[in-house]
Amino acid sequence: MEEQKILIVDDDEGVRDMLADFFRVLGYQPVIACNGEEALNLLEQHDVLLVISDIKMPVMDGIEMLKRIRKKRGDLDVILITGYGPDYSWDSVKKAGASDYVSKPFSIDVIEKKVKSLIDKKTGRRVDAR
Amino acid sequence: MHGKDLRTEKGFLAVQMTRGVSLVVRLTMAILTRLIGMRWVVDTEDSASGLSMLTPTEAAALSGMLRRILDRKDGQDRWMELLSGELVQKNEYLRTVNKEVISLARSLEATNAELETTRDYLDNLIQNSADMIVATGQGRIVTLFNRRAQEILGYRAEEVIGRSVEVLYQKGETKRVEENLRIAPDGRLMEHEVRLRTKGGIAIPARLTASLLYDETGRVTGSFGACTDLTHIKALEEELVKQQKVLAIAELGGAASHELNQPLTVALGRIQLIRRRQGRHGPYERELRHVERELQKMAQMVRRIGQITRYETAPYVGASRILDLKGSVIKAPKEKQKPQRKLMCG
Repeated sequence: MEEQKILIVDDDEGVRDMLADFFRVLGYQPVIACNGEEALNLLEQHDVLLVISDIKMPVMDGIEMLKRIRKKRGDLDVILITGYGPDYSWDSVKKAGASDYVSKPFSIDVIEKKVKSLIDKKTGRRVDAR
Repeated sequence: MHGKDLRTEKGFLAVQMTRGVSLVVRLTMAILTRLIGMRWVVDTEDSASGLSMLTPTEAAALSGMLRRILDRKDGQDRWMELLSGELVQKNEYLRTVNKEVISLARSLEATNAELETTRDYLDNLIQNSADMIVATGQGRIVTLFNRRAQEILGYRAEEVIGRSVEVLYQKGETKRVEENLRIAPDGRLMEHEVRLRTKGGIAIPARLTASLLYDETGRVTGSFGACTDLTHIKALEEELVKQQKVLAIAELGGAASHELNQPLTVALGRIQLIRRRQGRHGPYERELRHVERELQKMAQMVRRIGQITRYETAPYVGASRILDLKGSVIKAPKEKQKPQRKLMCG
């Protein structure tokens, strides 16, 4: 069975690689982009299950990317990663169309839980609360 | 003197009386005219008594002249006339002088009224000025202390007027102002910052514009100064500086927290990945926990840096101070959070 793809979008190489390794551990195939624009191009080429993206990025930030995704793929789950500060609260990223969000520095346990929750919701399975 | 009108001749007084005028009156007139340096003349009807008052030479000289003059009279001699060329001239002159005096008096009255209005206006202007206005005379003695100065410095005018201006300044300030006034071009000091002192001893920052007052010989007779209270402006400036510091720190904090979060996220994530691969009882679990704990501390600091909303410092080595991360963070009211949200691991 072909591995499900998760699109990782972050301008920081360390974060990208760490998340990629993590999703491999979880059994997913990571697809990696450095910014929103690159992510939109990759979405044209790959059938991804979920997108996890940083907000602050050069070329195209996560919010703009999300808005464009929503125009084409209303059903695609997108988790946004924010830094600290008042700029991006849950309410504001939800308003932009995010399925969920996490703040840096995050725990990969939290990422796992959020990803599973969204996938289970989509597939109709019960959320495995840890 | 022939042919001349006696009324225009200097030094003569012509008296025409009715026949019924008593001798007493005539004599009185004669004496009075003598007293004022005139010559006494009477009509021909009663010339004897009149001429008798003159010396014989005068009487002879006047007799013929009087006849000629009185010959011209039209018979309406019921009223006494006192006419003299000199008196007429003097009277005319006096009338003119009187007119001029009256005119001058009226003009002075108008000028006085105008000055009164101007003085009231200027007084009103000074008293109602938004600035403190103080004038001094010789020996730094206060001669003017307007309402605003009273309000700000807490003295009543009568408490200050007559005293040395030094009482209104912080220690040493009077000397400094005087020195600056002395060297100022044209004896005018512009926008000079001074420290005033209230009656209660509170220091008031103020901006002074002052000038020396001179008399017509160029001698300094005093000074005149207008002061703007800078308390509010100073407070605003301090607040602005503070806000700028907060803004700069907040911006720096935001950038620092963003940049530091990247390696922190990676480091913490990698520790968790190692744990997933080797399990919780791997050979380096103890070291991993130490590293993770320190990274969590860093994460906590980064979180605070990202939340700086005010400028507070704490003592550091020696006299230096550093930003107090705890004191500089005011926690904003929590926004609605997702219940399952968990930021940190461990």
